[in-house]
Amino acid sequence: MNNFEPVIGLEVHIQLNTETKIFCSCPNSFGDEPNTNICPVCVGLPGVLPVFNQRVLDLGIAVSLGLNCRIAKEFIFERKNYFYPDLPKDYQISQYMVPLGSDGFIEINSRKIKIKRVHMEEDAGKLIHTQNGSLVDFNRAGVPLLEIVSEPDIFSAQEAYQYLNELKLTIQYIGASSCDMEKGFLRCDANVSLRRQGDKELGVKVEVKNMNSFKAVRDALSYEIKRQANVLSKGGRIYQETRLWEENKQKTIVMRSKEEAHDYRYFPEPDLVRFFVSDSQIENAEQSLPELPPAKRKKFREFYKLREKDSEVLISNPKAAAFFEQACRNRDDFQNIANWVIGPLQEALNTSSIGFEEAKIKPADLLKIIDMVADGGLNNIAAKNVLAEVVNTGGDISEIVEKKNLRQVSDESSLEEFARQAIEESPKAVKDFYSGKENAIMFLVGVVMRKSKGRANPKIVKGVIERRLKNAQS
Amino acid sequence: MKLDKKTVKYIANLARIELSGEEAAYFEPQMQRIIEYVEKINGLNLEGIKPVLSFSPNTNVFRPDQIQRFENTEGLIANFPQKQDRFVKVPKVIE
Amino acid sequence: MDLHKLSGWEIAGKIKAKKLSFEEVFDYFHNRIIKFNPQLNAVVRWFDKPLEFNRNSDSPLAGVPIVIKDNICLKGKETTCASRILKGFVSPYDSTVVQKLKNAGLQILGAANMDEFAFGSSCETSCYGPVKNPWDKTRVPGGSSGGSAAVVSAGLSPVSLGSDTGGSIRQPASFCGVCGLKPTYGKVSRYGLIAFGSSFDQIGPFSRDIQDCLYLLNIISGKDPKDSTSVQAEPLKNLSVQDISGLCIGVPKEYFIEGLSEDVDKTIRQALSFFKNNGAVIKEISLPSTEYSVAVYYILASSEASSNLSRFDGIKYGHREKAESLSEVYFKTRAKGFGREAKRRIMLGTFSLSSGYYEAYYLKALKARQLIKEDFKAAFKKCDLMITPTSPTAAFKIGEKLDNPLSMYLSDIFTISASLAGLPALSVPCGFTSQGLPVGMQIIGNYFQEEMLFNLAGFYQKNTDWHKKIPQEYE
Repeated sequence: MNNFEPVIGLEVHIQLNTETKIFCSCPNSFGDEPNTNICPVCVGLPGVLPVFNQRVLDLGIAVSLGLNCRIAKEFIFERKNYFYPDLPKDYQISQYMVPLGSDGFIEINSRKIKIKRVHMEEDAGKLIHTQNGSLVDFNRAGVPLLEIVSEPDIFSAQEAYQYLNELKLTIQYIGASSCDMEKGFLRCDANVSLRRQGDKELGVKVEVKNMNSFKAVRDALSYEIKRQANVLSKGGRIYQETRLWEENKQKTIVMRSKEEAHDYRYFPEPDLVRFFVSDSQIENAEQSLPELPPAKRKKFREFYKLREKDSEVLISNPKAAAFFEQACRNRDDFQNIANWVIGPLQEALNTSSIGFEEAKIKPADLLKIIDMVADGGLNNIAAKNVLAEVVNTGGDISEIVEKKNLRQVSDESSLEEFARQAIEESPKAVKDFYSGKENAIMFLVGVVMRKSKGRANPKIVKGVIERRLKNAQS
Repeated sequence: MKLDKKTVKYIANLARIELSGEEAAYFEPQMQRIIEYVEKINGLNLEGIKPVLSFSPNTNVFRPDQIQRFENTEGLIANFPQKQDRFVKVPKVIE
Repeated sequence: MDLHKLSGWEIAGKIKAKKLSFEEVFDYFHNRIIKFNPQLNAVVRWFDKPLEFNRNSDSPLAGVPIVIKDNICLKGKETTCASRILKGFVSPYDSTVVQKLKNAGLQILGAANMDEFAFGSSCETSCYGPVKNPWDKTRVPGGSSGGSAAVVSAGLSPVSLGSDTGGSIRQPASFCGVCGLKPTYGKVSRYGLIAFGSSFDQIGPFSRDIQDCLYLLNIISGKDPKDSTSVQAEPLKNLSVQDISGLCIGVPKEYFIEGLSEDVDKTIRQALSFFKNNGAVIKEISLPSTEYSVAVYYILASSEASSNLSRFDGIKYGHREKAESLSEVYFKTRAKGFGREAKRRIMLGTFSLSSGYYEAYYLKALKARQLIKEDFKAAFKKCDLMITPTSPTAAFKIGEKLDNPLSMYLSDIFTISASLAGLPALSVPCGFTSQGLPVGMQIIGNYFQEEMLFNLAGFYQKNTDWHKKIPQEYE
């Protein structure tokens, strides 16, 4: 098996998050009632004509640049002809001869994985299969897509997984798509072939479809590489075919082979005009690109000096990274802030099942909590309590602390009575303490914390109990 | 070129038009003559000529990314030859 | 009053002067359709009352009745392209030209018969049956806008709209003895015109009086945000028909060839003499690629058509054949829904685009189109406009060419070149054959020079009366 080297190419489609569809003014919106976001254009009625959405070009250029592509100075659209019930005109308006972007790359593990092309096209509608027929919803028909095709330049399932993550991250930073795979905003097909180590020529490739997560892509490719290696090492041959990943069975199966070879009869779309992209347009787009992952990593390493693992956790979530960076303005305790963002804040978000984008908490709120903990106004438990509330509701931190009565009690006199009760109610712990088990004191601290509903300052409590026990002994 | 039965079938299949044997026999010689006729263009010297990829004199025609809903979606749905709720219904699609 | 002998603008004038009401005018032509259409089959659908229109328009054709070709979408009405496959399709939207007609106060009478999907030069391929030529009911009215030409010729409507891809306005205009203009590509929005050859199609007016043609063009033209290929242009000024001296009229020698009927040849030469006698300069010019134009056109227009007609699949609208499987829906619906000519064109286009043939046919034709454009560019350096016969013959007999598609295609030989180049071209009646059939001359202009075409035609009509002739039965 080690005699074979897998060669993988990935074809990714992303839905752009424009307001409207690519060639008509219908809303580009997910999850609405079927066939509500439709018009004569996107249902392919007789007589209709497409008109190109400016925003699609802007996002297409931004993504192409983010993927280090060369931008076409002149392009047209072409028709890809095939019959399918979800394809209203029975042709798809796409780009064939000259893609918007070409010759780009994504850098993974210090290696540049080549990107062949980035082109714009329209999405098809959605098919729902039922017992006695299929149903078509055209809400998705005409939603703008970018197709991003890598060269066969990926050499392991893990590398494919990393490529996808980096691609997704780049697009998320640009803000062109949420890349939510569950909603179909990002879709990925893979081509994989094996060749003998050292061979230059590619082997017969198999197309793998139906992966619903990046993990599924990795699993499907691992499976497919093993399967092909198995066949080849037994002297068998690989057939050029399309296989479907079956998530439940964790294997690929042959898709019913199509009766005819594809003959898409591409030709220039006569209903659309020629488009020119000027140098200044490209320059402007370049300048307005946000900071992308490679630059961010450098900054997090060299400026914020974060631990690499923490840096990666933050960067992998653009909203978290942005939150962190905002919080770091006018501060220098970067690692401490990172710890809070990745730790308690992320935990609070997870508990409420929300993401950074929906959270009501502002960076200033987190800083206030951090500072209150540092100067003893809030203990860690209470801080979590406040976070749990503020991520959902927002609002003034001091008010929440007061309202919930969470201010830490550090005043010894207020804690004396709790300490007295704890000692009286826990004879075993007291006995243990006297017999030299120092740790028993922590049990007693815990009792006080409970009695104070978490507000007591544990350090002070420990001192009070220690003093009381020692006094009683003497 | 000589248009054979296989090509006529292939073309009809691509175009999703069912052709009976009788119809194929009717169209074949006609198509043959038309194709022979259009092959006239081989008489033109086209060296160095750029194809007309876009006929319109217009360039860079865009639409702003602003929603304008179509006011008569029900009129679209009313045209569906077969429907279930708001969906178009078709015989089961087999992958 | 014989309203059908008046021009559209004269009728509008009488309405404006309150000598006629909208209703009287509508009823008059509506009744003529009811009376004469059974023998002509020129109108496939007519309405008991006009579609809602702007009663306060001050356009020069306000209140004028109009018939539109059945490939122009009308909201709330069946629009079928004279094809079985679109039977039952009720357009949920108005084409841009229809909106403009309604705004300008025109009263839409109904939809005109045509060749199925505008494929044809004789109006015999309609699913509603053939249209008869009002001058001789054993003959075709030309096509594909034969219904639109016939209604104006027989006085069932003062004006009409057709569409022209390779001659579909000009050839029937010449066969029926009326004026018909194919505007410069991009002059009129195609939004709502059911596409045949998208890089050729243009909607254009029919009328007897050239002034009506100009008014109608002004109403329907202009840039449309719904059509990326439409172009903004100033509205045309009123006709200026005083003088044509010094105007240089090019006569392409490649158009006076074998196959041109003697009658047509003679009639065109008479018209040329007329212009010469009035001070125009007649100059022989050359369009060397002319003999290739039919071949180039049939490859390109059919290729575009094959893709444009894919959407007629029985899934979303129109007719769906009973079927057990999805594949049957496509194959049976399209087999039953399309007529023979539609199938021929779809197959020719599919062939030209298919893998292995694309370079030899489609791509070559795209290059040849460039040559043809350059021919005209060079020729227009030597003349202001061109005059040619519109068609090599007058109207032919019904059935004569139906099973000989190639000979049918060749009847468009004089109109196709201007379509390939996207130039404006107007057919104007200029006489009759010895059998009493109308003959049209084609005036071809440079891009967006419609005004020059109209002025020349206006000068001609001021001094001749061919356009006032009405077939006897419809007097």
